[in-house]
Amino acid sequence: MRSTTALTALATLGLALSAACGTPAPERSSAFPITSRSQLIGGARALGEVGDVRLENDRIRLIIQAPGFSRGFGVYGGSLIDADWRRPSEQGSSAGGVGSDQFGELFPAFFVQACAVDAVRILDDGSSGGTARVEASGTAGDFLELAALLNRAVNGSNADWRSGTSTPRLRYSTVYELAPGARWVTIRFTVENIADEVMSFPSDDAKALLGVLGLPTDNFTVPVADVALFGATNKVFIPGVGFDLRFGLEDAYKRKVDFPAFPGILGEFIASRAQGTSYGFVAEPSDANFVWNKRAQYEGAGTPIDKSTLLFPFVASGFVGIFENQAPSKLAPGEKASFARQFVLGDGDVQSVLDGIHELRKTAVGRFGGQLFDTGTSAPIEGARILIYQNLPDGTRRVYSQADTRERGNFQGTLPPGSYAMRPVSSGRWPGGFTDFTVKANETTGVNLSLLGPGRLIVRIVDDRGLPLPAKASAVGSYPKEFSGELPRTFLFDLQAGESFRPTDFVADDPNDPSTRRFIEDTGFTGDGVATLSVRPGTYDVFASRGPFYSIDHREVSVKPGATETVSFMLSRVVSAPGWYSGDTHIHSRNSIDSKFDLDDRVRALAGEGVDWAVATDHNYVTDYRPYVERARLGEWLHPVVGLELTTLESGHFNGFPLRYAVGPVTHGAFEWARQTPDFVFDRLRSMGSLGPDKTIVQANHPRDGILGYFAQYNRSTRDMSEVAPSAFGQFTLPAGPAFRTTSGASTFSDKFDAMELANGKLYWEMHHHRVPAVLPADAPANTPAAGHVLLDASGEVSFPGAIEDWFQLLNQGKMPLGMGTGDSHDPEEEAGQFRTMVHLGTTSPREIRDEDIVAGLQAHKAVVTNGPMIDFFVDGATGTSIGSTLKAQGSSISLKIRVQTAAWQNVARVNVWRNGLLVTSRTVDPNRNLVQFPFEETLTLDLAKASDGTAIDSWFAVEAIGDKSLFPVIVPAEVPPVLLTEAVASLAGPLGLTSASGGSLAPPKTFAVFPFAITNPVWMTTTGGAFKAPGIQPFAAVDDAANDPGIRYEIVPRPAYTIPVVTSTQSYRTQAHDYRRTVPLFYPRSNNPYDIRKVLARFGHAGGHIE
Amino acid sequence: MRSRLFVAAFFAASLVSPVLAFAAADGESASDIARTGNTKPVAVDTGTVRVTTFGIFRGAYDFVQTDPNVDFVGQNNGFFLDTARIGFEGTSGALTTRLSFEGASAAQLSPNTPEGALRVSMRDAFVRWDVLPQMSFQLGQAKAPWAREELRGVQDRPFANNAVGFEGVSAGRGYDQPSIAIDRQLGLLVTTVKPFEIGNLRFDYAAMIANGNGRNQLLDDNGKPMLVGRIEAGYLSYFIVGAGAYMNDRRIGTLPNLYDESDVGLVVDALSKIQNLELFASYAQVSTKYPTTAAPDRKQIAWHAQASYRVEWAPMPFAVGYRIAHFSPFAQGAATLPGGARLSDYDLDHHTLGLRLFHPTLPMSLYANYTLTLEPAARTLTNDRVTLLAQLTF
Repeated sequence: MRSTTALTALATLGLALSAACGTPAPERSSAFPITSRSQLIGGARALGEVGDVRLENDRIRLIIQAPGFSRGFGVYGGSLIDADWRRPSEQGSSAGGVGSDQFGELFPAFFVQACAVDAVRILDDGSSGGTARVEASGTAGDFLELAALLNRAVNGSNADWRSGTSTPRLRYSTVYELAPGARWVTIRFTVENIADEVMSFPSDDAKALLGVLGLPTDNFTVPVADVALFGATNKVFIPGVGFDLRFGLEDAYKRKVDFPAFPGILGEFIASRAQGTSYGFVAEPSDANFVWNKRAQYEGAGTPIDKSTLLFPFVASGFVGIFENQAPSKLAPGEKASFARQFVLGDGDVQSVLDGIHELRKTAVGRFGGQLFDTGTSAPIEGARILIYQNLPDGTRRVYSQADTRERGNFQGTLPPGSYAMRPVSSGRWPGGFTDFTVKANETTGVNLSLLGPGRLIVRIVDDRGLPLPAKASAVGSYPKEFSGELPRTFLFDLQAGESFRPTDFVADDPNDPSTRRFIEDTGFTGDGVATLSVRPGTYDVFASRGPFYSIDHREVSVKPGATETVSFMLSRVVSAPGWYSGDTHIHSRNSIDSKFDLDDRVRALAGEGVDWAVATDHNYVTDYRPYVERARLGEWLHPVVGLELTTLESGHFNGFPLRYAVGPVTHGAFEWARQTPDFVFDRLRSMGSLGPDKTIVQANHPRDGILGYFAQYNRSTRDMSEVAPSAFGQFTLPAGPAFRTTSGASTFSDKFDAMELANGKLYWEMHHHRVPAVLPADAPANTPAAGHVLLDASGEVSFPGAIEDWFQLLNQGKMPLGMGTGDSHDPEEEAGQFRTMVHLGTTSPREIRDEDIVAGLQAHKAVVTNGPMIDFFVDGATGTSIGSTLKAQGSSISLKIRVQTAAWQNVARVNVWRNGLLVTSRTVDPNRNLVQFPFEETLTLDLAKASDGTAIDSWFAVEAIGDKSLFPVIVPAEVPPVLLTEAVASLAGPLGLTSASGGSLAPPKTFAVFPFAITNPVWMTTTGGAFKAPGIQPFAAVDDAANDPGIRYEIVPRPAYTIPVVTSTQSYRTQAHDYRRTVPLFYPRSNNPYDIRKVLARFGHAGGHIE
Repeated sequence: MRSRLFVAAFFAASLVSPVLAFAAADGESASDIARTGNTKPVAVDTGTVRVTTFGIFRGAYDFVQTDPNVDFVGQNNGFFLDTARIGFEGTSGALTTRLSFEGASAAQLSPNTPEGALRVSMRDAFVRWDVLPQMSFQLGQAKAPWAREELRGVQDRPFANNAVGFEGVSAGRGYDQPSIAIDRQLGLLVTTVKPFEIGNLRFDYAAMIANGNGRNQLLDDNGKPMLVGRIEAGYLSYFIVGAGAYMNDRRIGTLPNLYDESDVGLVVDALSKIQNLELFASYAQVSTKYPTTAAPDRKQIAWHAQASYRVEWAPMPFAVGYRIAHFSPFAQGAATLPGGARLSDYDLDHHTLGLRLFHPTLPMSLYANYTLTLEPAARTLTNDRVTLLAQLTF
């Protein structure tokens, strides 16, 4: 009986199993409009909204934005904005999607012109079983006003190249095609001639213009490109340069490439590494390939050239220009030209993207794989990077791909047959060596690797009560003397392999003095009094610090592989400034496209740097730090303020705070700025104020920062802030759209901002007008002005203008904007509050601070800009601060008591007193003086300024302090130069002759050890006791006088003069003297982080008058 | 491939091999292959079902020398809870259901750190149908029938813990090293109720088809079964020799990064009990292939030999024992990995001296073990260990 029962059961089971095994369901793709938030993708960079279009198959899903204003960093809708894998638990809710989108935005460009998408439609929804297709189409649109005229001239996109509203002659279409089962989307960009006549590319107008400039027009073809914003949470990789895009592009720029080619990196593909999802881009092989058609120009670049080679003329952390093809020379009426490329998804590393490319192209491949172990423990290492190199015939290696080690240290991938090498790299460990291996088609090659154990430092920091202190710990190492004089990035870390940049002390190396060979291995912040640092095993001097007003301490620690060492410190506040609280009003986090800084870590970094109040200012994204502050239990230390950096592409960046936080919208309240005037932007920011429009601070950021600078873009004179009439060439290149000009042609510049940045991060050269140094370089032109005079350009404007002199002239005109100092920190490598604004609030702890207090203090102008020195002054015997006050002078002079303090690890060497924009007096301070024990205190009797008839007039006074001591390691030097117009735009404009004089060897250095600097907001002294009567613009001749040289000196420590070693099989550098002044850097890192390159839209000086 | 064929044949043989019943003098029988060990259960009759409860408690104090160079060795000496188990077994005719729960299941957060917590987890959960005296079917989670070192009941061990190859090295006691034990699996087991007996000879078998991804897992990791089998032959109670084999294709990782690994395990062991002297020896090896990554094959070898002698005449009976155990987790010769690691550097040799005290009347005993640990020079540690353990069973 039992046996019969068992047999029956088995037979039933067998039938059931056979019934379950039917034919598998076919793969499918689909496209549909998003009607519910649960259909969104979700993720750190997700921007999709209801109304967009979703494109998906069984493997991946993407979102194409609906027409309208871009939610990314661009201008127009119709872009690919979200991309992720299909996931088992992807079903979203009314709160939004669930996924891991890490991608910013991708849109095509015809030369430097985008598509103003006016329609997004589903061409094929995939229901018939084939490829789903979505089209975004429109006419020409400019995302760079600067290039608008040039674009229209070259492309002929409009009937009148001088007018962007004239009849369009081209129509652009981007079709996104997703086939069933594919892990890539094919993007087909089409240019259609909708005019009645034949279109030439470049246009005849462009040829004429180029002829005027003396440039050859033969073989000048219009590039068809893409602009990809990967986002700072992606580490971008290009074969040949690996993750080192910064210096890879710099090296590429050094290779001579003549017009009509453009310099840049060449690569077979571009890919990224990110958490969960990675991305890549390849071009479909085509006879119209841009590089292929100019291959004679690009031979010898080290990259194999074929009909799918990509050119990267400019690259930023997330923002990449990609030239793939070239337009045909002509298009007949109604004719179209199409160009295809693929956007490929990976699952977190570069290799998975490359696997997708191999799958896409059906490349004959072999497999490789293996495991990575810890040498000491034999435990597998997960989350490490395996770099893959091509072994080249000349014995060198070319970095080609990167694979992550996954569960139990496993890694794998596909490669075309050939000889390769692999190398393991992991945070906190010394990199492994190279292991050669060979890949054969249809075979798998396995290799096991190992790495030495990591080092770990536990740093405990308490205050003088013994309580946990939010602070910063830095592990400072000293590299061996045998590397003295060598460029640190060639031996100390490997940027190509994705290792982090280790900043150095930027001091000339002395083989006999280890203190000249210091570098920072890692920094960490204590949220609860404990910081954990990941360091490569070795000996370090561990520093504890908490911003400029606390003491610092340090101790030597040795860490062995696999070991953890603990060290403790006690810090105390040494600079007394009761009632004054330091704030940073310009801070970025992961909510900015160009920042990878996690919000929890961001608030710990702020508190660890001693910032008392912090305004969240992400690019076009309203952020509230409060939940993260509370979660980290930092409420006693840090008061968060909701804010926004309204970031336009060309008309300036503006912060607004305190703002309301809108829970629902994706960007929580940020608004469309394209083609809007500054007044609109200011009014709109004020309307978002949480305390009302009258209590909302609008701040103009880095106003002289080239294309990112409000004053620069609106062509404000560096002499008196009036509008400068554009030169003939400037009329062609300066932005002139509705954001800049009214319909009658008047400038839309507005001075209705409340505050302006005088100091931003390490942009020291944008603080004061740059003056001729005392010691001239050998190649200085013969007509160089005398030392101390302002350096001028050919048009008589200041070559390198400073915001402080602009501010002075605005004060002299009675405008009275508040002077601010900010950090503009984007990532952990950039110190929060490296410049900060001290505001007198009168409360006793950050927990008591309210937004109203901050606004009141700022509107009362009781503010000091500083990165270290604390200045206060008292007029006519006042016991409370006189900063920001409007006082009646007792006579024709005032008594000004100045007090300056700094912590002992900083110094002040000079104190300046400014009156109405001119230096009324300076004092020299012993740089070795302990300004904690013996603050600088002096009472000066200062006359009010006098009118031409000798009578005293209303005068404002401000005090400035300058030190000459390096702030390393608390604030690291500016070590990697940013990019100037000449170099950065040389990728596009340079070959066209549109360069700008960089000032040559007279230009201010962009690399230097950071030194102390502070400047107060003024006190306004009236003669009558009524309202302050502005003294009027200072004549530039007075400003220019060497007597008004504030005394900014960059050479506070002996500059290093590095050599770069010869190319070997493991390196890629050639010996040459490396003079940073003459460096051709590329794009615009506003910090020392060389590959955290944020803004491809680099600094522009005044175009007019800078043409060579 | 050949080893996989051998295992398959072994599995088949263990299913159909004729056996002779052989009852061990002390009540221990080959059918203990499928039993997970309990003594003197408390029984409750509820009419048609007889429910018995059982449990084991093992609390200990562990002392490990502090290594001067490695910061996670010897830093966590103190009391620990080795076992806190309770179980229930319900019997009704030929059907038996068994459930047991462990209250001291260690959930370590990461290797080489003591961070983690104890949690309750299930151990045995199966139903058994005794079809014939030499054939019973068991469905559920239970010890996989492979190595006697694992199958042996906790309360019957001469030493406080298993040999290093089956115990592994856990946090605080050295470099973290997983063992080769296969522990409990979820599947279908067929085995004897009573061994086949032919004269003084006894034969046992057990064969199991299981998921192969360990205990307390929701589903199979890769849709492929694990095959495990063991056969034993013995002479009276004096000598039992056994052999076991398994093959298991596993899959690790998360979508889309999945990695296949394929194990073949072989073990032979021999147990001898003569009067109060017990001798035991075991040799086991596990070979692993990595078809996805084509990483070099791995072989792990663990062998040990032990002797213990029980003294009954003392007021408190006691047993003394010695064990030598060797574990080579990378037994592939002295090949050097890129990065400088030598595979032979990870070998472990443990010498254990043990003393066990038995309570004359209660099911309680005390262990005192001293283990001398030896590693190759490249990874030598100062981590000798003393364990004092109290055990109560019911």
